[in-house]
Amino acid sequence: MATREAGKKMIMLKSPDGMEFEVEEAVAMESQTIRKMIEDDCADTAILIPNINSKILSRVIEYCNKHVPTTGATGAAASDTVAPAALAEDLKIWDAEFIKVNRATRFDLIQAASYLNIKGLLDLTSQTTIDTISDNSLEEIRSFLSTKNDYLPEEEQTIRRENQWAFQ
Amino acid sequence: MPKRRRTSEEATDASGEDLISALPDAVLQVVLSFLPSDETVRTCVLARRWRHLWKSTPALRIIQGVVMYWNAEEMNNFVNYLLLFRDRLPLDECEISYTNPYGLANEEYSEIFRFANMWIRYAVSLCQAQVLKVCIRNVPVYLMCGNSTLMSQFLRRVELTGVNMWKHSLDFSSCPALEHLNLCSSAIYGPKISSQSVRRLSITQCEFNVNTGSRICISAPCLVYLQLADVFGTAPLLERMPLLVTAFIRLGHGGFGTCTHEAYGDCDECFPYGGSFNYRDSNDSVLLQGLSGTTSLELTTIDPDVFTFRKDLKQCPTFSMLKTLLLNEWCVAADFGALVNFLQCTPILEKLIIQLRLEKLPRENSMIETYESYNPAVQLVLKHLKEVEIKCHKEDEVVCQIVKILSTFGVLSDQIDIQVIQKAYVSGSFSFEQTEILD
Repeated sequence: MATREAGKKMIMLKSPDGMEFEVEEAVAMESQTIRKMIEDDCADTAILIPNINSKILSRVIEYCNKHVPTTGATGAAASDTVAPAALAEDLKIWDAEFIKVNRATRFDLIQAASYLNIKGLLDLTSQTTIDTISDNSLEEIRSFLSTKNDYLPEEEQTIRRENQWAFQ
Repeated sequence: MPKRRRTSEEATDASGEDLISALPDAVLQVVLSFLPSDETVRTCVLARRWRHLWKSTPALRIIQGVVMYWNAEEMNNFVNYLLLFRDRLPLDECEISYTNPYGLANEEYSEIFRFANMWIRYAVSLCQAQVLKVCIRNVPVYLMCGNSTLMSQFLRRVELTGVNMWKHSLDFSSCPALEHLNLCSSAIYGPKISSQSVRRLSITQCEFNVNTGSRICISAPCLVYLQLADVFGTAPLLERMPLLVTAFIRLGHGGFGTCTHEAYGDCDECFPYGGSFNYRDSNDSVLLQGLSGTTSLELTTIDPDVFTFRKDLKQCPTFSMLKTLLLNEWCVAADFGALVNFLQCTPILEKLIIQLRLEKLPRENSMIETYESYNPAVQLVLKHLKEVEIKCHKEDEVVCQIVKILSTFGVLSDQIDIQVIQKAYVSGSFSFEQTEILD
């Protein structure tokens, strides 16, 4: 698989709902999970990505396309030659647009990023979720996460006492 | 109901479905790890499922001054409990951040940072943290990054802001996976910063050995990118960096070699290296030898009187890979010799940018006399040099003379783009970095 051919090596990714996405190998390898499959020679034909529907998978590929390091003429990664500040700024603006999705999509992206092991995407989706809950009261956080408090009142008191050092 | 930061989109799908329940614990813990640790612990009362989740989140974020104000003692108390009760699982990241806009109470001086080095040891040595970030701002007490060397097979990135570093804490050679090292607004004392693995090094607004005046050496043979911006004190000596591609150097004021005899290093009495006990190696190249393999190079000084580069040029290493070069007015501060010397060592240069804050040049008259006596000894033609930009806010005789010099290197005047721009822009703009000059 590691042979270098004239053009760019392409990989086929399949979602469970039957859609196929042809992507450059370098783009697919932004996912550490897929990278491992390719390096272990398990990726001869199409790779089935379970549990990630085509809508989410296409967003993930969009993210990887943007974040794959471009290679310069010398073969050195662009991140070594281009100004890191300018490059990072550009990506930050792009990321901010990319993550303007509803909550359900964001949670789907979190799961996809976790399964495919794409650190940057997991960081982005997690940080965005945290930004919405950080600095809010517990009631507000419950409401944000739509989490029901299933503690009995006395149970909750016990847990607060147990971890009193964090509630001082 | 929560009011802040809620977008209309958030509101429409907040219809009650417990979306976060669908995430497996391990994923939820990654999400939670982005919260400051105190908030993470407090999620234990959200619901039964959350009771123990905080114990195995893969990050430690000890962040003071953001959410609630804890004094130093409360903070120490909290963190010590946290480290005791959390599961000792590997950490992706350890972040310690103190910002204190209110000032310290008297009793806090002895308490603040009392355990910080122990927490760092816990995270790095016991929990295999891959990323260590320490950021201290507005605290009138230094966090001494001890006298102990960081040791870890896992540490990939270290970012330290506002700390004091002594000799052993500058030795990263026991961190073979370390690739990124950022030091910012820190005081650095010691003979050597060393890492056999680091690829990207950034040192900004730091001072080197300001008390002793002795020279620090940077030993990082795998470096690909180097940024030394607004550094103060004694110029660091760069050891061999054969893989270096891009370097951005902007020397700060003072200590870096300003000549009291107005001779820009030609007087044989002033050395760019601080204390006189450096006399014996005063003719060694300090910075430029280590930078000679770069493809892109930006060399500027805040104060044009700083002659470190000029003195280095007397050793004249050949920049055999250099394609893009940016200089500012230091290269014409004394006379045009530095510029001429430099161009003679850049055989494949393609692009040259010269930024001139001409009002910074103090002795224009004497300079005019010396450039009239300039006589090109070697007729090198820079046949790859196709693009020259001169940025200044007034086209005067210094600019004309630079154009004349370039013509002796075979650069035609229509290849030279003279950009007359606003003063502020000349001083603040750089091609690799957009950082304001601190004047």
